[in-house]
Amino acid sequence: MIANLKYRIIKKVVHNSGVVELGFDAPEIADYGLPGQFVNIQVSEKLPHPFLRRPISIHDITVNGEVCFLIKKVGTGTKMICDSEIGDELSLIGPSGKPFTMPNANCTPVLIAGGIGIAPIYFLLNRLLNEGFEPLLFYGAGTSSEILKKKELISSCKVYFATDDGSFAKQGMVSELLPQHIFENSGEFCFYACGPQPMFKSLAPFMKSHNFPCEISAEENMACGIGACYGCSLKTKDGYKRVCKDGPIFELSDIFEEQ
Amino acid sequence: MSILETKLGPVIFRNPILLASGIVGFGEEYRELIDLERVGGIVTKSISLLPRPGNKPPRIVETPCGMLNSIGLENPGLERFLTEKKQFLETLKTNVVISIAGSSIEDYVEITRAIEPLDFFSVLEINISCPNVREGGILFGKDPHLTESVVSRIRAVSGKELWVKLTPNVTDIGLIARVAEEAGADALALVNTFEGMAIDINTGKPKLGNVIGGLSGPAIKPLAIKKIWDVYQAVNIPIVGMGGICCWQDIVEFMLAGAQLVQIGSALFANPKLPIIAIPKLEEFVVGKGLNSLNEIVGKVIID
Ligand SMILES: Cc1cc2nc3c(=O)[nH]c(=O)nc-3n(C[C@H](O)[C@H](O)[C@H](O)COP(=O)(O)OP(=O)(O)OC[C@H]3O[C@@H](n4cnc5c(N)ncnc54)[C@H](O)[C@@H]3O)c2cc1C
Ligand SMILES: Cc1cc2nc3c(=O)[nH]c(=O)nc-3n(C[C@H](O)[C@H](O)[C@H](O)COP(=O)(O)O)c2cc1C
Ligand code: FES
Repeated sequence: MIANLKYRIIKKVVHNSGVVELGFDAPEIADYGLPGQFVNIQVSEKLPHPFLRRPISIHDITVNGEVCFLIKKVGTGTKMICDSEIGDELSLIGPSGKPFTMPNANCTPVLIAGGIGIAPIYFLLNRLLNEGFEPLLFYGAGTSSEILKKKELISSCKVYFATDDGSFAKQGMVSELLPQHIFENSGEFCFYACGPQPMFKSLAPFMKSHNFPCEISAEENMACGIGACYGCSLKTKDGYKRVCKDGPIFELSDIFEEQ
Repeated sequence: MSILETKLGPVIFRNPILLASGIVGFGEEYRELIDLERVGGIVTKSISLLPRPGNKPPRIVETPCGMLNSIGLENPGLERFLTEKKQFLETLKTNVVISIAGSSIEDYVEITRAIEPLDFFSVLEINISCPNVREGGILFGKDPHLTESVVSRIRAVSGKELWVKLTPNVTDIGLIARVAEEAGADALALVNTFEGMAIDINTGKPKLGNVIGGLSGPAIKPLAIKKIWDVYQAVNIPIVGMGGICCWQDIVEFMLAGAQLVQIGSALFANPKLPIIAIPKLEEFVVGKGLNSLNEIVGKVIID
């Protein structure tokens, strides 16, 4: 089920460093949306520019059917979406794409978020907690103030933080924390990651050397967002795949070969 | 007869709005977003003889009021079209236009022969205007001799309505249009995308993996209208107009310039419901203007 409707904004929170959380009253999307899936948001109905929709991951679906997004302003489109106010209506198409695969019962899920990559990881974390898993979270950001929902995360699971400038927790990339901490825990692991390209690249050798499965949320510019135009193709081990339809969730090793 | 109905050769269109090639694939994905049976027709992604993997990503970049694409005709190829994609189109209760593309004249002829017996489609659209493939594609549409050869060779093996899709990237589109008409085209579809390029000033690299691409969307609308007007004056066969259509008013404008049918492309990405919203608006326009049918405005731009 994919909805293509206008939905009203019922919540707006401006987080640290200008990241905006928008909550929509979108019952159709709430009923079907799963962690890892995204929604294609129309920036503005009135203007011919920006022309294309912007893909944004589902960040949360609350018990009363509110669908939330966590959006970082990087350009015109995200800025305009973030400038929307409570009561405004935006056209959303979704939920789209392949969700994260839920782990086997005996598995310890390890979640890895870099920067705004926390957006879909947060939704996955909450679903895993609801299903009785005890996930670990590795969360890295540029600087201390870019770490979002810190208190809430710390109270819900074991979190390992890192910042690029060392202003909070360990300095460095979040992927550098993994080898050191992962083996403090025993058992079978399955990994889920969302973040910038360099983070994925640095995770690849670690995952490969331990033969760990690791699902990532990939990005590519999109046009239709539903698999029809072949605009969002990404190179994988098995040829080009559409991020919007075959993804956005892919196996890390299918995209990033060990260099 | 509905006031939006229009006939092109033997084919009846319930309204003049078709969905352009390359936008809705083979229709299936869009089924949930738009009632495909309410539009005048849908044009498939161009199919080639063999599957094409497409171009290096990124394949899409947004530009002011439009977009560049360099898909590179990624499509499943003739065989998988026949085994996997055709079924959905067969059940669709609207006109299906099959778009084909080849690297050689023989390719075009072979695809035409293979699909000729299928009776669920009424129109064959020959794409000789794709800017994103190295061999074939746009080369056929830029050279009048090649245009003549490919259209007449297809004409010889096909009894379907034959639309030839023209590129705007030529000095004299009227010349190519006349050649296509004389070679047996039943109508001309235009425009395909304008060749374009964008560079990331931070990295110094082209924004498209393929370096160049095709520009579409509202940015090209006035350019497209001019090409349609040029072709309207050059030929006697009908025109299927497109290039940046974003609302019902744009459809009227294209028709005034000479288009009997229109296709909606990139604007569907922004708003898949656009064609459905336009239908009642066009009906109101016809009634408001005291016309009997929308068809009456084709080519009726008033030049004092
Ligand atoms: C499946 C998917 C899920 C996403 N989920 C989220 C999310 O939950 N929250 C969120 O904030 N963003 C998310 N994004 C990224 C978001 O779609 C882009 O940031 C947005 O499209 C940029 O639009 P813009 O108009 O603001 O920027 P533009 O004006 O298009 O670009 C401005 C600058 O941002 C860069 N940029 C453009 N697109 C991206 C991109 N996809 N990633 C990184 N940089 C980009 C450009 O290269 C350019 O330098 C997601 C992307 C995908 C594909
Ligand atoms: C992503 C994309 C893919 C396209 N693929 C094809 C194609 O396979 N065959 C073709 O004839 N035209 C193709 N086109 C061109 C469109 O059918 C249309 O001619 C052009 O985009 C201009 O119309 P618009 O401005 O309404 O998009 C494609 C356009 C886009 C944007
Ligand atoms: S954006 Fe069209 S296929 Fe993915």
